[in-house]
Amino acid sequence: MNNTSQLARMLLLIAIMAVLTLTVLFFAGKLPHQKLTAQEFINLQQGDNPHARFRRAHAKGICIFGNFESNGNLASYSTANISHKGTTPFLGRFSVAGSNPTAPDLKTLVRSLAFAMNSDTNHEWRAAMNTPPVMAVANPYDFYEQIQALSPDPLTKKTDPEKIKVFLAAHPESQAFNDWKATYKPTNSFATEMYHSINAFYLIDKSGHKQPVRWVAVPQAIEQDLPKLDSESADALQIQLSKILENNSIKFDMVFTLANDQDDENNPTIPWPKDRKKVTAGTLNITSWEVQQTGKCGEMNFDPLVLPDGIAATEDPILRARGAAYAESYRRRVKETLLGAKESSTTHSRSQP
Amino acid sequence: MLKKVQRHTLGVSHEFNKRPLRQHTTITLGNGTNYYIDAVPRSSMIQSLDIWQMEAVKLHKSFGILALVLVIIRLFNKLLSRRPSLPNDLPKWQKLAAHITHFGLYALMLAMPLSGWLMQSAGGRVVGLFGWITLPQLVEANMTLYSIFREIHGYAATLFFLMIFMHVGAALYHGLVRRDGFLSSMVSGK
Repeated sequence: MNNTSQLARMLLLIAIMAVLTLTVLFFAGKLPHQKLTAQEFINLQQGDNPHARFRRAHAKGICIFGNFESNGNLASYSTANISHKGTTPFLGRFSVAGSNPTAPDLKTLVRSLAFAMNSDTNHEWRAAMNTPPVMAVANPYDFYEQIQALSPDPLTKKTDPEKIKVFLAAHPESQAFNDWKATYKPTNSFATEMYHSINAFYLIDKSGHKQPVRWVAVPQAIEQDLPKLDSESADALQIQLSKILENNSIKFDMVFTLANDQDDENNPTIPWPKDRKKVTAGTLNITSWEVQQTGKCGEMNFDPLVLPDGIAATEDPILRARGAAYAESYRRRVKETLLGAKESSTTHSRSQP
Repeated sequence: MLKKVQRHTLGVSHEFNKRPLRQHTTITLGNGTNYYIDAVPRSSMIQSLDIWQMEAVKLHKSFGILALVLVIIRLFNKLLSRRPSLPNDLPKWQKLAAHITHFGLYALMLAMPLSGWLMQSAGGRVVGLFGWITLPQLVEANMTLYSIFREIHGYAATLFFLMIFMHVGAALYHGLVRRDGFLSSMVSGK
């Protein structure tokens, strides 16, 4: 046998395998890349000192249970189960923004309400809503920059006004968000906030017609009727919530706003005009609570891309980015729980309202 | 002449029949498709923040179930047909490697879709096949189980690639370097 040709064929084999390896690594994103990944996003959110076993964003929260009482008004717009008149139990969570699971409730600007209903079925609906009605930016890459600009310096623990100014100048689309921020004052309860879907979704009817909508959970509670906040407590909002639920349920109307042709459902930075048609779909009744460390909501990933038949995601880039980011945060914290990792924060204390 | 001798070493009774070959192709396509969905250029499905990510995950699940169906059919067929024995003069370690790779490939072809299905069930999510059918939940929603199956799914994928590389590398070694007719018996189906 010819040794030269034997060697050549061996080299060919090596070359083919090398090309194959590089192709696989390239497509798997293992080679140097410029595009921001969900992993890098979560790295930024969790910071240098991640709180093991907790969500990387909106780490501090409290589990809630209740039911969604649909009035049937949505049925002509969506084939979703929940659009028909009837009652559906849900598992949910109130939370405050940030990666610190022991942050003082009253120190954070953004509050959230999440729920999941009809789990284990095609009719499952998970939602994660926040107090701002719009986003400051329109895609996850700008969102990353926004978090970088707004984050306090790790040494001085202070935000850099110059950095924020530069960011805002580069992102005029943040106008509506900044207007909201300038006038918004957090209320004295989880029960009296408005929680917005922020991103738009499609309601799909029997004929397949897609109606872009945003929704908001509008509180029925009135602040004067609620137990007073203990503003000294780091868990002020949670303690108050548990007090309300001793005797009463907490109710929110689910109000859907229907976009028209002038509205861009894929841009979460622009509020839709006030005169758009609104449909109240029913009421969220919150009846009980649990601490998140041992409660059911700790096990749940409130990924807003989990939608029932009859509701679909728009191509809003922020909305679409939430799936991969939530999954990464979830994967990390459940793995830490599995492996028994200790919460790294020295100030850790279980919130026990 | 040389070819005839080598053919003889493979043994007439151990030749591939065409059905498994077709299945080899479809299984490769099935798994391959899922890989390319999983890894659209520059960032993989679990890394991407782009708008196609959600659709990719949906397709990934469906193709995974399709791959599971194909491998089950393949395994039944394997029971019914014989595979060609390795060339007699192959060094022992290569024979061992071949057996490990073959066993590993089948084990992983089952483990990949099953761990995916299990992790979805444990995460409280349903798995379907292109929206035509909805599969039953294998386990109750449970965070610990989710984490176990999620990590198995990830590590099994890496191991799967290693096995595929050994498989392709060995096939090319037979075809290009040894030229013992073993690769052509796979390709021609004779």
